[in-house]
Amino acid sequence: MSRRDGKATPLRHRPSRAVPSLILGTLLLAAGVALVWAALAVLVTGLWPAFLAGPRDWLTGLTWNDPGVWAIGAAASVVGLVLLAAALIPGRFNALRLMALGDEGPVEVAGPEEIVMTRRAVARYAAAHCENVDGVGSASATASTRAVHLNVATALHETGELRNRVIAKVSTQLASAGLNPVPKITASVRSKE
Amino acid sequence: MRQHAGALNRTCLVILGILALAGGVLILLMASGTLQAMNPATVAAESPVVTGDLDAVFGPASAKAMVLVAGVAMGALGLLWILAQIPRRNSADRYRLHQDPASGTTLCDASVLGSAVESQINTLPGVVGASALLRGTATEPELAMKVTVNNRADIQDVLHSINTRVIPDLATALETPLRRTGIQLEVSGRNAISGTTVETTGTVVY
Repeated sequence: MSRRDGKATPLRHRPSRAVPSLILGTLLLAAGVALVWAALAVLVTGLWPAFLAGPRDWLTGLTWNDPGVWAIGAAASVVGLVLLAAALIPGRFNALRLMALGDEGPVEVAGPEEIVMTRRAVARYAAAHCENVDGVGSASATASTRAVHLNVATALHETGELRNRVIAKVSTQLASAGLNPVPKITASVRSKE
Repeated sequence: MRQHAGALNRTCLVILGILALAGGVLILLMASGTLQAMNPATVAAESPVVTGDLDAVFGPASAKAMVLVAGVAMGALGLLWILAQIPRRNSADRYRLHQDPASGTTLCDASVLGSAVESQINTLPGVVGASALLRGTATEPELAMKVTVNNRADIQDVLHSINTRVIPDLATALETPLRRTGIQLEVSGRNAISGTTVETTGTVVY
């Protein structure tokens, strides 16, 4: 099931849906273990395990229009929709594209080259350069694939001018880092009283 | 840089999602009696779900064996699916650098080349750490790198050095251009191995 072909895959990718897969894999494993245990028990002792008696009796007395059947049908439909949504909603890319800029435009390398910067890396880089701006007390940042949001704390009372300076500085810095396209920068500046 | 089972997960989730949705809708249609209204040959909403005797159905040894096989199959699939979630390096095994095995063989472990690339990247100013792995074959090598730089490093400078020194050096060593390269940049607050700018504080006296 896993790749062992020694081939590269894109570094910039969408989420791998590991959480729903782990949940379903665990449920499958648990169901498999329960079935094997029940089958082994009946093969050794000749009797089905006692925990199956309850579901058996419930199933025997069940009609199709029973509220329990309605509930099972509705639950299965909802679970099916959730699984389809988990598989089909693409999700956000893990990283932003970067371009190696030469003196005269992008540098040519031998083969196709993919340069990416993870969202976390962009956020850290933006926050670090934001903290270099005069007037910024502390800064943190969050990055999506298209935008970077800065949370800035300052000792200044007038925050509007600082916001413009911070956005201009970080925007220039991300552009000079080679991010292509340059993410939109937004900032919320909080004055420390 | 490590590879995840994204395609496998999506495929399995779609299959299980369609099965669950189809099963659920079918149960709801039978429970509401809509299915019987559409096709009188199907069971009525008032009829029991289990028509036969369950003890008789699961009595024969063949039925017990089928339950066992189904359990083993489900358990194995579940376990394989869980194991597939572990991110894989999926690196190349060994590059065969020889032309004619009759006159001798030359094998190079791809991890040795990866270590050489890592060491070279670690000497670049602003780099905190690097890991590199090679995929593909000796004639069509593919290089993937994760480069962690200091948060005040000149990223373009690092990339320029990698493109003009590290990658050409590897291509020279392998005597073939790289078919594909990938660089994943991470940023850290830790000091770079070389070329660190040091923050100082002091008092200016006029």
